[in-house]
Amino acid sequence: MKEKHFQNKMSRKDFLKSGAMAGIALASSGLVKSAEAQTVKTKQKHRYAMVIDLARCIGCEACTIACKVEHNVPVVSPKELARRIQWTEVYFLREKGQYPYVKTDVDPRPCMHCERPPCVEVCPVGATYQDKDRGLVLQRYERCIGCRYCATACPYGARYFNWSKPDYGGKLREAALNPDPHPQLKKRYKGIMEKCTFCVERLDRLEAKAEKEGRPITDEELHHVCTCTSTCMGRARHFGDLNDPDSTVSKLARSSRAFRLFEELGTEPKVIYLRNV
Amino acid sequence: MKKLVLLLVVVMAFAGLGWLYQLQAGLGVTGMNKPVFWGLYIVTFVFFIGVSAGGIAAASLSHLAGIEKFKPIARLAEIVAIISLVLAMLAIVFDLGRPERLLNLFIHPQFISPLTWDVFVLNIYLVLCVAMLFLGIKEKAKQLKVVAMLSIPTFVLVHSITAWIFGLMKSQAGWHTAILAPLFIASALVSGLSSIILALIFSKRVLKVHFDNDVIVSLGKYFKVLLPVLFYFLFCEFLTTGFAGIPTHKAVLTELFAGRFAGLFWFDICFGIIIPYFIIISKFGKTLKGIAIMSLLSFMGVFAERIDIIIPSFFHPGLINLRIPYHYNPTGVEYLLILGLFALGFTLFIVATKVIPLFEGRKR
Repeated sequence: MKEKHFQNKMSRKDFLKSGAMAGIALASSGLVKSAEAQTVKTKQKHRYAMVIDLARCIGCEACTIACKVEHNVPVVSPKELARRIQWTEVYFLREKGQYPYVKTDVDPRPCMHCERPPCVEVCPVGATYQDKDRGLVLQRYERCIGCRYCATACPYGARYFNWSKPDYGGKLREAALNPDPHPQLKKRYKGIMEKCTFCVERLDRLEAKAEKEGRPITDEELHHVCTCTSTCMGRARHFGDLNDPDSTVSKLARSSRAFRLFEELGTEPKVIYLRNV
Repeated sequence: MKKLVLLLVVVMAFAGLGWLYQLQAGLGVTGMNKPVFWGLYIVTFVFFIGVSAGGIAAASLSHLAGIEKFKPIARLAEIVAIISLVLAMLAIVFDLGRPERLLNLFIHPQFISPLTWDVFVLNIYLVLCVAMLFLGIKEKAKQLKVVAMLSIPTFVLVHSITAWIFGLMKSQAGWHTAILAPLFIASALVSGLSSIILALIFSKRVLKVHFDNDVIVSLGKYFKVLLPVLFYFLFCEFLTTGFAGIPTHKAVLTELFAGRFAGLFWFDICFGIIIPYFIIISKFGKTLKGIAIMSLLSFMGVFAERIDIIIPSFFHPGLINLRIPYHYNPTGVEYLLILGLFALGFTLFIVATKVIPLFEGRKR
């Protein structure tokens, strides 16, 4: 009787122990998950990502303009600012301080190219899809029905709708449009969504070139893939492959200043910010 | 009567022109813009889906629960459901940027998207409603019972999935709540039953169809339960968000209680829920006039509630750009198209009463 009691006690102890272990395992797996942005994932060939250093950003919006020119993005009149299309946009979040010592928090925001993109989940026709090899979130213009569900699902406001017939800024600009025949650069029309592509047309070109020459793509070459990164005068933006542990973005992503927007939503964005401290 | 039909036709003609204009110029002619991606069209879509609930509720009460009183009005309830489903589908077509690609929903369906679930379940629901109406006219009681039984889970699904289109979006502070599906079912029943009561009173007064007032009075009794339940669900939602005080959620709540949507919100609470409730529990609520006023008020209240749930959330996204003003002012085209939808529904109802033997036991 006594022995049995003892045994019982032991087993309970064991049970508690194993429970605690399981708890620790769960908690640590949670920790691992939150550090996922920084680790190498082998499922995809490349994990292209962007790092934006907020301490270096001066909010000049050169990235926005460069992107608009590169991707034949339509323009809107100032009256219709709420219907603007800017694949990357500088958000002016809040003003701090008292005149004349005023500072504004800025947030340059391209598409986050999430690893669990909510926009892809909600699209009823699969017009938005995730490029499996490279993890880019892209749009099929010819399939979009214009329901704007993706725009309501995106927490970052990174999706833009063509409310009316897109205005390409008159004859002069239309003559200067980017002639690249890439499907993502096709002239858009009313009633469809468009979004940042991480300059997939330039990436494709670079990959083809590297394959032809039979060499890997260098980090410096990748830096100049995105129009916004190569135009950024403060070098606030960096582009690269997170699957390469020695790339600039991987190194920067390991910084203690690194964070991602709305990490709590579990979208796992691939745009990593460096805090302005 | 003739004047009424003429008026409806004129409204529909103008709405048709408005739609052509919108098709030609794009959705830019509406008031929607960047943060407010969905406007009154989606609200109307959700509202009409809700109205269809009443039809199934009343019809199943007669077919399944065997309440003989509701037998004469079952077909009328079903036709109201069918018409409102058609209107809901039209409203979503109005909202699409490229309506000519509508078939993509069936060619490339993505089954992970709540919108796809809604498309499929809506079509099933419509087929079931038409089957119920058809079997009812042919008086095939056995098959009717089977279809009615199938229609109950579909009914729950339709309204839940419509709620999940919104409720599953973690990025929208005002939508992401588990109570949205029950709330949608409750408000669907309120708007659906009130539309049936209004349709009954209209047929009695204007179309001179004869049936007992008793049916209308006993339909009205259900509001004694439905309105408090609706209020309770709303209260649960507001207490949860208010107590937790998560900034974006709280901002949406403030928008409702004292912000841009305060007028609509308090209209919904006072004239959509509280006053109808006191009408229905009072003696006035047993007269035809009282029930008519009560129904009309709760009908409008639910429309206001749909606006309050769907639109304010857009004004408080996680990221707000200080440089760009946030606004949503519906344009004339939007109002016109929605008015046209209501007119179309009214006309279809009048036509249906003339063409289909809606009222049981009445010789034509």
